[in-house]
Amino acid sequence: MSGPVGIYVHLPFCVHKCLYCDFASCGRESGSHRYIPRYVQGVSAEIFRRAGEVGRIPVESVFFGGGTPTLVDPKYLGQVLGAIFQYFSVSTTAEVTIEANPGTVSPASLGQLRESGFNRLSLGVQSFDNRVLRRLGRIHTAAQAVQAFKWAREAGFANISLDLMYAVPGQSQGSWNETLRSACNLGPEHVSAYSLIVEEGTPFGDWYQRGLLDLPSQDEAAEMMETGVEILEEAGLHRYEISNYARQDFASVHNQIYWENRPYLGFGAAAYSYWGTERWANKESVHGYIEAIQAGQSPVDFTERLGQSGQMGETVMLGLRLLRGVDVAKFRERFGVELVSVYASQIEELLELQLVELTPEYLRLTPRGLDLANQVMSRFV
Amino acid sequence: MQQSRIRNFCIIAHIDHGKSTLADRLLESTGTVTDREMTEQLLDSMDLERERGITIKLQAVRMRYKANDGDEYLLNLIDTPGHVDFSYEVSRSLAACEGALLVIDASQGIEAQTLANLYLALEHDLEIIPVINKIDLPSADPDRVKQELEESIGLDASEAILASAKTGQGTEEILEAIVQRVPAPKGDPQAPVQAMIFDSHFDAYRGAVAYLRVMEGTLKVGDEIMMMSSHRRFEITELGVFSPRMIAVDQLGPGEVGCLMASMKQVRDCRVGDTITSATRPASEPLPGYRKAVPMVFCGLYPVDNDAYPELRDALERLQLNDAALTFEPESSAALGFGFRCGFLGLLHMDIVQERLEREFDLSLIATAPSVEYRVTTTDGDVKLIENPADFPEQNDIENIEEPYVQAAIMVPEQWVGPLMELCQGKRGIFTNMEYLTPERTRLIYELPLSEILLDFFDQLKSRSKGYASLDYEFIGYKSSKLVKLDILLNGDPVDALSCIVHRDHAEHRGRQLAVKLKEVIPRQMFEVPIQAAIGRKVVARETIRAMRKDVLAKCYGGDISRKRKLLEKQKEGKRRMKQLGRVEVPQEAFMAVLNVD
Repeated sequence: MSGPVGIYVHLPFCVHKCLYCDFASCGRESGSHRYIPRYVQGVSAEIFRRAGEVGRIPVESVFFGGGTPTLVDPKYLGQVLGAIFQYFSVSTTAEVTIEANPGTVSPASLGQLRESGFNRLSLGVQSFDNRVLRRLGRIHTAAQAVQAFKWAREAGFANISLDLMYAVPGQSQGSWNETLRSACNLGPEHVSAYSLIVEEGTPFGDWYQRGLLDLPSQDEAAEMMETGVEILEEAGLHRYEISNYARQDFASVHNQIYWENRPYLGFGAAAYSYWGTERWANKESVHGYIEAIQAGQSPVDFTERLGQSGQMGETVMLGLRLLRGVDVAKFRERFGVELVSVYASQIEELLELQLVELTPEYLRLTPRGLDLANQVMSRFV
Repeated sequence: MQQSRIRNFCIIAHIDHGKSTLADRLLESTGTVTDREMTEQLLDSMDLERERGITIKLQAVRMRYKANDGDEYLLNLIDTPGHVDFSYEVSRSLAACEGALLVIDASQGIEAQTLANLYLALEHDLEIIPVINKIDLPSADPDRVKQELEESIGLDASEAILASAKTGQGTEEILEAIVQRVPAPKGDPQAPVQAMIFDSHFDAYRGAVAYLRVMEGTLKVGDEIMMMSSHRRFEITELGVFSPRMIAVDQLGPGEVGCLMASMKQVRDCRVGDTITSATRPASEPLPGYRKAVPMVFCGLYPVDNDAYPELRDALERLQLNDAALTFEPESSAALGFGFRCGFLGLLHMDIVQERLEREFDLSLIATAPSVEYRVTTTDGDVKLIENPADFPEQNDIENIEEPYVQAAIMVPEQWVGPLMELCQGKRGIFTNMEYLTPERTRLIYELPLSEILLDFFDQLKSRSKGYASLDYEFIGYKSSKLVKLDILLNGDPVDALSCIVHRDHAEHRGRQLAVKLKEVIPRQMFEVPIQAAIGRKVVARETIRAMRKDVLAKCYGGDISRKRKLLEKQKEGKRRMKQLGRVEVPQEAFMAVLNVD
């Protein structure tokens, strides 16, 4: 494996599951929280085992995601991060991110995390409108989010990202604008602004099927997306990916690994890895994961091998998410063929539709293409 | 078996009145199948039939029954379809029988289709044995049904058998009635052979298999036979009877029902309705009484993927083997490419054929809205039969248009008569007659343009009568009508496959509704798409499909990639199922939109 890689650690524990969430996570009522100590041990064991196979590889980013990682005692989080530092060659300038729910942090816990080596905090704020927060089933208020941000700054986090959500049932354009402004006023280095996606198997999914969800129309959602770009750009947060905005030099190192289709290793239940020509995922069940690890077995229960055309398709699908686009030279270097000849007919059609533009260095989406990215990407998969 | 101990009979029943369950009881009770072999409703063999609860294909089953008189009899049950579309197939099976069980649901009473088939049976001089079924249900009212039998049909209700196919009550009595009341078949075993094909199917190993009833003479394995319509000759390789699985026999004599195989490779070799005779000693005439199946409803069938045209043709040929009434001719559409104009007996027949093409032959199809065959007289005196609206001459060149009319008989409880008369008037119906059969049952007779029945007539009939009305109709001839062609333009281009023929007085209204409906079913495209409805050059309606504004996945991180890729693949697959008309992608439903406007 050439070049530094990313490491992801999944902590699937939440106070309770949000109404829209289809991630691998479990609320307190599931009873799985009592496994946290064993789970953390399991993750450390998996890291140790994997390092034995891949060696002390260079790492440029570590990301603890969830669930709600900050529901786990900072002491344990520090132990897992310590294992990563111990067994892999994590660069001193590496980005080390942890996701946090504003309702689960304190000045003390944030201090401990900073001390363990986390240098980037991704705060799941979603909205600064308490009505919207309630609709989403979030456990925190807008005031708690502001408080958490200030505590994080005081604890020494110089790189903070805020997650925001629009196109939420019952959310008005005015509420969204307010949320954007409140976010900008805090002065974060990074913002992710996501359009709510209603997923099957979630309470939102059920309500949607029964016609009970007052979702904004396609046009209203498009307008929210537009004002998002406008207000965030004005505040110096530059859109560098479909849903992501950052100040100069603060684009997420970790997420760019995904979008450039580069290798990463995932640890913990439901964590995905992408390595060489394979992608695999661990068991989703916390209990199943722990049992496999403790029995010395592989926790993996999904593997797919990607051929050259599959890898090329994914490289384009992911690369187009970045505003700068798919790197033509890197594509040639990796696959030994020209992007423009592999996808000649698709690119020609998309150029004509003015959904993409092609420079000698990049194939990228036009502003219209960004709004209709699926129309473009579906031509490459 | 002596000819005097053969009984050939069929069952006439409305859908859901329990025909299949009754057939099962007869098979069980005669020991034709054991309990273990008994799969529910043995006679309905195709999945499609089972799902729809309709028997489409006819089959004949032979049962041995030891009657109370101490003799053993051979009972041949010939299955009949129960829907108005298949009245032709019913007529074939009726002609193969001497008697019929008339099965009526004890709570529902007689329905329009049952009555129509009963009249058909009476025309064939069949002995009718009324069976009042489902008497175990709490809602059963056998006395009312008996009254209906006497008052509306004139049958002797005292002869009716009370039965429950579910519990088995009455089964014995029915079997005895068949033996005693249904006459034995006539026919001379030494006479020149006349055997009637009432069904056929294609077997991958044996070729075309003819199901037949021998009327005169005797068929033997090895005989050379001749089809009387085509004069084609074959040698009989196998003869069989069903009990319920096929058992080979050496010969079939008069009155017997079975199947015949003769290395017939082509669809046209064994036409349903034809008479089989001996090649060496042919009968002087074919058997009478068959109506030739005339398709009444037409639609264009096109493969979504133009390359699948040969597969569609092969599939239609294969279906035609089993289906004497299906017709098809190649046609082409500017919008849809190459396809076939297919003719069907009615709407259900059309649905079934489409579904079988998609299900059994894995074809992805676009069906244009069904239409009828119009008789168009042009100004220069030519008369043309046109079943595709796209082929209509210019309005100025048309002198006169005639369209097929049917006589529709609607059976309905009295309280819904008003709403149904209103419906018929709205569909350009001409009132003919109204009969009060019983206080609960009125028979309405209207003359209606067939094209109106193709729209949403049946759905409306059901919804306006809370499901109580039933319908039967038959073609009565052509009548002159003030019709015009309504064209649809998408993105400025006329789409021939969306044109339809409508009455002049309804044209603008239809045009507006159609434009609105198309706006609903055609998804937003990457650009704005105007929809126009026009009569000649006059645009009567306009709607606009606005351009798509947002179609993007919000997130895509490590764990999402496989799933998001699959979502995009699915989206791509969905696109592939759409038809590209110019730059506009149109889903299959759009071509049927005309059916969903009122």
